[in-house]
Amino acid sequence: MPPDVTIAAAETPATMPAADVILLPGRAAYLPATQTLLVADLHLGKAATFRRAGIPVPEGSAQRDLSRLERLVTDTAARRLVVLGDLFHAQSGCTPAVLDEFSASRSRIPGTEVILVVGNHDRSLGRIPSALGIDSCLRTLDEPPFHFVHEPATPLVEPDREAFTVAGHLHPTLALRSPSGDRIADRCFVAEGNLLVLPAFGSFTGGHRVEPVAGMRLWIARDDGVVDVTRFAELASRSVR
Amino acid sequence: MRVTAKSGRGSGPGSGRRQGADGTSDTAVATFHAWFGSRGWQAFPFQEEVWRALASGGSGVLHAPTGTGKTLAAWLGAIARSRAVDAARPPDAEPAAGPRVVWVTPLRALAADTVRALTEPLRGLRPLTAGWTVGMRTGDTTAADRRRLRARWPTALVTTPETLSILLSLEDAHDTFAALETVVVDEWHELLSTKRGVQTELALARLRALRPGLASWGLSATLANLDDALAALVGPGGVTAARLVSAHVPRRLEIETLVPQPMERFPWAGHMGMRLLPQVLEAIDRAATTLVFTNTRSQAERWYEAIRTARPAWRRALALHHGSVDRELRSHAEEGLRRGKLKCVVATSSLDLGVDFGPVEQVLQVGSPKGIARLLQRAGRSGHAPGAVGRLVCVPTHALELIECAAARMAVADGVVEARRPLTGALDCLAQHMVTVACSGGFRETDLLAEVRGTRAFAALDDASWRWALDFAARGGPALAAYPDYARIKERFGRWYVASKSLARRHRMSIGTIAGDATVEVRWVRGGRLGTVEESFISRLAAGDRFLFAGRPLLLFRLDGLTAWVKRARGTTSLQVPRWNGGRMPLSTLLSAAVLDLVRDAARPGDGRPVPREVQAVLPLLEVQSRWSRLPDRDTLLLERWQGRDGHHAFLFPFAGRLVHEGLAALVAWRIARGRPSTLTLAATDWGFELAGRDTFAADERSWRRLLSPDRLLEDLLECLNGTEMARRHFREIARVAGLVSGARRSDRQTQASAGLIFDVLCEHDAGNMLLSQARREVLERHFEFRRLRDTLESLATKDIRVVETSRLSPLAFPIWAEHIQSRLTTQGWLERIADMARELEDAAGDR
Repeated sequence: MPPDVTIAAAETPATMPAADVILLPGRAAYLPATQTLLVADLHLGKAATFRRAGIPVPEGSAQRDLSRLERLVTDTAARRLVVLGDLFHAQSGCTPAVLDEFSASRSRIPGTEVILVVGNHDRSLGRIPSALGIDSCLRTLDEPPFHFVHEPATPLVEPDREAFTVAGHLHPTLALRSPSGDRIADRCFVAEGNLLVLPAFGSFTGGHRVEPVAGMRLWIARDDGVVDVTRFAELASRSVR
Repeated sequence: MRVTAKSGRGSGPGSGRRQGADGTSDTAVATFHAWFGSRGWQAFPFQEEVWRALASGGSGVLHAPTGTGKTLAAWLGAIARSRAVDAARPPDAEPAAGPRVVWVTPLRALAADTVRALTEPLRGLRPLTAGWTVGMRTGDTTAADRRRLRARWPTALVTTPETLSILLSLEDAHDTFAALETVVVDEWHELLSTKRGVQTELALARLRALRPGLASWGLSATLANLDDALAALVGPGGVTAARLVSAHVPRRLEIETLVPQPMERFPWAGHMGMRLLPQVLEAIDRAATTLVFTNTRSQAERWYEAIRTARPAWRRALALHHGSVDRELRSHAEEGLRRGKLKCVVATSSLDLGVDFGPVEQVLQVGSPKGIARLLQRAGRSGHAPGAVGRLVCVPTHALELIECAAARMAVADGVVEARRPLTGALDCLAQHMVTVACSGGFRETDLLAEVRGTRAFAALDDASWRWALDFAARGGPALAAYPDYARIKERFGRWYVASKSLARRHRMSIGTIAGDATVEVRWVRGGRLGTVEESFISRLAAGDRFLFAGRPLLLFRLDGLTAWVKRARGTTSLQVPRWNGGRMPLSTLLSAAVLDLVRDAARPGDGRPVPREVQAVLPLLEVQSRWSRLPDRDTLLLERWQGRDGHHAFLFPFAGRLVHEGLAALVAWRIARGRPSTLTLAATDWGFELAGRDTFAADERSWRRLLSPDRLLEDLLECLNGTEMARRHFREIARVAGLVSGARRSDRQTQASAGLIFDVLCEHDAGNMLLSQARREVLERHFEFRRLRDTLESLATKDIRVVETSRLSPLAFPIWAEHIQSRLTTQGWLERIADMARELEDAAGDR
């Protein structure tokens, strides 16, 4: 029997509804019970990886993402920050400039514990330098009723697990279409059964399209808002023309 | 025999002959005539003109219809030139290694045929051609063959623009081309208005820098702007010394249109689908070999399937040929065509070009030819047997296409043809070329700038743009801080070199990948390839879905990364047909005007030219149009307003071609939505365009007059580009050429990003990046045909606007509506849009 976990979207980080998991504008989630802020897939240093390979992608997204993260921590007054994997993109992108930026950002939120649930990209880095100020690096984190992991098991629903899984890795996106032809495509939160997948937090990251199925709950997740589109997706999938 | 004479190296084409290279060239020309005679042929005057011009080192463009002997003109000319160079060489001088002739073909699929065509006359021309060999190098050449080739170069090398660039990027490019005397660009008109044409212009400039006496020849179909074609080939500075040679060969062409039996009302408001299939089968029956051209790959799949089902007896004599079908299957079709073993091949533009398929007796054009030049090109694929007549039959798929067929047929009779405009100022191509040259021995900035400005494409390049492109290649962009740890080329002792060997390797891999959608390979579960299909199509299918591909009903078994595993499907019902992007040409200006005139003439019988039979067949439809709405003409702009279940629609009919209509639709939508936050959807065809929105907009003539004003056109268009995804979508090609996204299929996973994502990052963190402005400019110029768009608005300003409220879709509006939505423009916030979209869905659900 999967645990009964309630999920709700907040209009702003300041006005939070009553729920076990609160989805925030800016592609993050908050757990009021443990005062925990959750984000996934920052892929810091991805632009630097590209430049190292001779592809001219400008810097700027890492700084912007880190300062967004700081603001979310401040706005929610989170006691801890749990990164659900893929904090860094690749070894070749972890230039001194990128690492410095991260540790500087870390030092601006001194009262918050930072936990990294290691993702597949992080693993390619080997040991995470202690100078970065990450308090613990874990493969998974279990805090009933929650189970935090980077890569959710496939298929998406894990029927025999007792815990409610919160994961990243998939970079989910959603495309919505109306009968008159308007179309919106953006990143999203996906919940199905006892699993919640967070959208990628990093702005220089791609995505994978989610095909809505019955029983799936969906929220469009943007920098400036998060909105429940479960009913919309359901109606749209019924009126395929 | 040795004639002691100076060759015409570096002198004008006419002067060389007078200086006395005549001896050798006369001998060569006499040999050629004798060889022609031995085959029972007679050389055309244009062929001898090219032979003599080339023998004395001259350059030029030769234009002639398909199948008139352009290849032999240039090829034998190049041989004559080599003989003249040999004759002028001091007896003790050692000739350099490397090819003496480079023959550029636009498609690698044509390379093998070209090698065959060039090899064929060599034996008969001995001793003139003693020791001559022909080889090829394209993107398909294996590493082992490449090594063999470099160990011993053939006398003539057949290659593509991309591979030519790769050869120029190698460290020993100087040695490779040390013996080069002549470069021939085949099907120059095909490359002309594309980025590959720009790439070719830059490569030719590089070759001229390496070999100052180089003779260059372009072989082209007839165009309205041949002077542009010549300037692009030899550079504006070389035009006066070069020549245009015209073939003046009368090619007899018969063009007719299949006209459906008169009917009261056309089904589906004009859509005929396969209605003409019986007549098509009859036409195929009549000839030994028929080529059936369609305008899109999906149409080719459908017609192939229909013909195959209707005539099971032709199963072995029927083939399908389009760009997504596997190369082996395509070669099989080409070989069958060449040997006259096939009754019929259904093809797309993939067979527009290429060495002649002798046995083809007639060509069927399914759908409107859209342009006169294209009709001529396709008609030219038939009737190559001596004394035969080229024969083309137009098969309209829509009632209105009957009018387009009539217009095209009449234009061919009048002898008019369209122009093809070469591109200019493509900074992505320039940046790519810089790295190419940096890979092969480096360059001095002033030298390369002068060389590049010698091309037509960059003759007007300003210092700031050059500086930017150099900074882009060197540092990623002018904003030093935004691109730390980046360098593709580096300066050392005043020369620019590629920064590392691995970057050079990467660059060569990415050179000249033609921009396209991500494609998925289609494979049998039991093994064997069928071809490739756009990912966007296959990702809409689920395992077990049935679709038509490569002429076979297939069942999708499993989609696995970039491979779609398929099985044979039984039966042919409920099959989906992939929609491939591209391949759709807009109706040319020439044809658009002719179509509008035919419609007007039809409305006023007895007043002007007689009504052609194609148009007569459509008269009932035009009659319905004038009853429900009215007929358009040159002096009025027709505008229909219609209230559908899903919102308000406006249809406008400027008759300016699909691209201009897409631009106009975006512009007008922007001007409507600017004042009041809203979302409009747009659709366009060659005849007109549609705007649709949830709420009513622009009702009267006055407000439309304002919306269609030519004032502030450029500013408004640029602003509206930001409201649509067009620039972002168009950026894909630029990103590919400029090396921002990897063109290689299996690239390093860690450096994979979509062009759209990079576009967003550039907009946010390097908004001054000139590739972004290039994307906007290219959408304006190439996508919307800006000049034609401006001309259209200016002419609309002088016309009456007639707003007609219709109670149902008129016969002219229906095809636009049936195109479905092609793009949308919004000035609403995203939350508001989602709310509106959801409300719409609720309403629709409530209706059921």
